[in-house]
Amino acid sequence: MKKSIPSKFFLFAGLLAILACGSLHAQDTAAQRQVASDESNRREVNDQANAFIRANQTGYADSSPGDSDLGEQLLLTRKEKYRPFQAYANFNEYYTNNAALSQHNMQSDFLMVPQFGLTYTPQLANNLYAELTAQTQLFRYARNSALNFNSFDAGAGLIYVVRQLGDLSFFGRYHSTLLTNPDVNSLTYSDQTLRFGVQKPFTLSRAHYVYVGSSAEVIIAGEPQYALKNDFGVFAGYQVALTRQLTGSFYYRISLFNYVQGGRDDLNQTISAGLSWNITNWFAVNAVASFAFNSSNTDNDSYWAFMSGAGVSGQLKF
Amino acid sequence: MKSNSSLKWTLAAGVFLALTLGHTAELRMATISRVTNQVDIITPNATPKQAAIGNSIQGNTGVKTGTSSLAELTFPDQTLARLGANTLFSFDAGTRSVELENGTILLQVPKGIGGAKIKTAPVTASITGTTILLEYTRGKHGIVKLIVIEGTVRLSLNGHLGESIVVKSGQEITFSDKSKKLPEVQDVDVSRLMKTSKLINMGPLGNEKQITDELAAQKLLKSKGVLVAINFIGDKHHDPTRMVNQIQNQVQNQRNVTGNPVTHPPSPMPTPARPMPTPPMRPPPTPPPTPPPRPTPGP
Repeated sequence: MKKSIPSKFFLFAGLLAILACGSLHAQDTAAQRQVASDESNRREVNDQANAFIRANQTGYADSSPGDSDLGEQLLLTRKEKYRPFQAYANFNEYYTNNAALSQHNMQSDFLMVPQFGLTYTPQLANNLYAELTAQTQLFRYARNSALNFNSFDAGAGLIYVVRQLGDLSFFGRYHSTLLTNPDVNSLTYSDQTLRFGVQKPFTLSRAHYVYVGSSAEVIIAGEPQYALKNDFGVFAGYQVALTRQLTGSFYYRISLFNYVQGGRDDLNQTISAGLSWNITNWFAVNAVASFAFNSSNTDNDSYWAFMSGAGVSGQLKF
Repeated sequence: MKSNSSLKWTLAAGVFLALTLGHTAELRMATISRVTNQVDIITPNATPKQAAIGNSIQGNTGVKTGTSSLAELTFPDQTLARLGANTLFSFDAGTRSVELENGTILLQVPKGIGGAKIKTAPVTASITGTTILLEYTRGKHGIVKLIVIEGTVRLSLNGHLGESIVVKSGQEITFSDKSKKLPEVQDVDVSRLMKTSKLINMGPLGNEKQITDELAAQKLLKSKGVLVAINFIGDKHHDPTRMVNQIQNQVQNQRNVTGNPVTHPPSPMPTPARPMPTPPMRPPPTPPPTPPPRPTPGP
């Protein structure tokens, strides 16, 4: 390896520190905004049109002149039952301008990706969740059938949500991936990794929010060696409910890929936008478009690619 | 045969009419059964008269309460109307409709006597065998508030066809008297309300069993954690499932930035635009396709 892993850890620690500082600053700003908001609420206490919103802030129904005779109206809400199991199946069709992720002679292609999985997310304590996931995906290219492969993933981890810090969340996870040829008689790649990171949402209103975070994935085993890499990155995203059924999202991530063999380091950037039409609680139609830009310190490993597609997804919680 | 059949139908209609008229007639008068501070009887074209216990109120006669005043009216069918401070109340003779022109009222209609209607300028509440609290305050910042202690009420917005909602026991609804749409109902802590309501605590209501049953049902839901005080779950941030699902997505995304540009699924879904006490669970992480982390093919 040309560069030592510890140096990447220092880089990652720095990214975490920047994120933490940003988070604390944002907390202060949020507190100031809250004070201003409270003052504003006091001024418009007679605005009955906002009764429900204020009720949510105080826990009581909106005040009225007759309250002394009616009595205290402490509002209750029905808590949704937490269902830790989730089975999902997705089917997507994509177009890409660069199926082989190559620098030269880019070849466009269409690929079909069915996906099936099961997730178990038990709540271990008030703010602590475990997570176990197993899933399989099939990648089938229309023209470059030599690129076809199957993917089998499994992993387990912990997620800790700090409510006092506005849902600042930490996660750690073990993950294993196996890639095989389409006939599942030949293993082409395998790895085992540890992933950990932190994520923080900033709610702009009830309809939209942004989130930022940082994560790292460290290889602990796998083969072939030249394909294994560590991944250190930061990301930001935006989620918006355009209507009750239509949601939009944007996502950006910049990552440093440190390959464990050959001294290869890549700077990878990805940006994507998605739309989801949630027809029912369990069925949605999705569309997504994304760009990836990969800059490598080794020859022929830099590339860019565009991908766009649509599909349907179904999920069952129990 | 034919004449016998006609006779039966005539008798049945007569009995039905008698029963109906009997109930209707019962709201022709009421007796003032409790008075606290300033309570006046308002008669058209006459000077208001100080109300006293035992006074009879005829149809088209109003009752007005002053500041910090309370009154209770008992109808012959044991329908009970308790009036809060600064309230103007009347009822239409020959109907089962009462009118709240301003103020607060507790109305308790015994089960099986045909129900009743409370009319205000903005809304009409249709009730059957129910105990409710209703407030209508007029003015620039007019407000309507309905709380159902036990039973069921259909609340309709006057002049807006089809704009009606069923409010069940343990629920309340509050909105501006200028609203053109009814908001969602919310659960309310009946136990807390019972302890702090002057209108409820003026004296026995006569349907304590139904109220006790409702209190027990709500207490059970609270003990199971199904019903939670809104101020305990706090603001919109405090839905950890949102973060859990989002992180699951993120974990999936991290895998996919290895090269495949499809990195971000359209989920998770943010909180619905319409205010809700608790954001719903997110849709599935919808993990995106995992790209092959194998060596990048050369050109």
